[in-house]
Amino acid sequence: MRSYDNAYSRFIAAAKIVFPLAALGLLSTLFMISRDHGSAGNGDGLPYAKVEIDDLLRQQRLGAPNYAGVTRDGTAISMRADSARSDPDRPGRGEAQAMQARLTLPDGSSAEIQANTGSIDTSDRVAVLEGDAKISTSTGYTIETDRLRSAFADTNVEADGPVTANGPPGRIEAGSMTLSADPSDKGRYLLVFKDGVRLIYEPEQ
Amino acid sequence: QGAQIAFGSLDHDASLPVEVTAESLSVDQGDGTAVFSGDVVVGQGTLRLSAARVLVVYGSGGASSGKISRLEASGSVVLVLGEDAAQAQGAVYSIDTATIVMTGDVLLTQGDNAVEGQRLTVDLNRGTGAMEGRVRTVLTPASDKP
Repeated sequence: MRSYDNAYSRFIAAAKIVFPLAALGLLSTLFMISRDHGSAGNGDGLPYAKVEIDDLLRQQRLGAPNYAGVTRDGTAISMRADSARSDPDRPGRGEAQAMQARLTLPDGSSAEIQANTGSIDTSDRVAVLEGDAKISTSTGYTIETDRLRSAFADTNVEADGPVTANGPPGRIEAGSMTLSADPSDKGRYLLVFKDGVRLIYEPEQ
Repeated sequence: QGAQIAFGSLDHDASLPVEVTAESLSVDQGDGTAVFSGDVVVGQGTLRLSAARVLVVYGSGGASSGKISRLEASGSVVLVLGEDAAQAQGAVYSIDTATIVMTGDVLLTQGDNAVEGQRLTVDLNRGTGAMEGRVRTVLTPASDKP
């Protein structure tokens, strides 16, 4: 190695050896010392606490399930719930908590449905929503009933028990209610209150 | 020519709640049209208007305003007010102006007297009725009563 008379050249000659070695060392740390996961790091990176995982496993529960589909006549249905579990003794049936559904109909109208519990029967393609079931339609009607069924195959929401509703014409009580296509005119969708309807309209003078 | 008739009682209150009962109410989700059908009875105070079908027509604000401008009844319409009655093919009950216009073979009966015409306009607040269109009045003299 040639010797130099001044410090600067000596420094440069030394640097030519030391710097590449340092670079090599730095590069090697990239592979040899891998980041260790979890043990030293914080534990809350996992979305589920351990107890909930066991719960989910034991009950075969789904967390926040949702369903989206389109009926034969073109209504988009999306359904979600806080949790759902399959019915052990009846295959194809599931129970869900805090069920919500939204229907967007081809005529541009829409309906939101919610209920405390819901059960979905994929074999006869119907969702049954129970417990303070509420429907609010884009035409300004909010309907309350105990139980209602919403089909997946075609647009058909039906409450066979008594319903109470509030809407543009006023307060409505009826024996039952359906939201479905008008049989005589496929493009039209009708919200029909049946089995005896009573409306109270308050004319504000 | 027209005939002015006292019709119904004077104490009709147009601000009373209107109650409509029917077999069914169907609402078109596209434009919000609401139609009652199946022996529909519109009641307000002593007024009873029954028909086969009643269409709800909203005010200028449309359905969302929640204000009903009038109820259009059709199909064997019968209006009963106090002890007077009138029947026709169709009737329009304007709630705000408290008037009922009945059209199509109108027959008004008050006790034994009957008046026929094509159009009857009833003003609920003033308790009057005006019959127009080929008016025929049938009075039964007191002596002929059975």
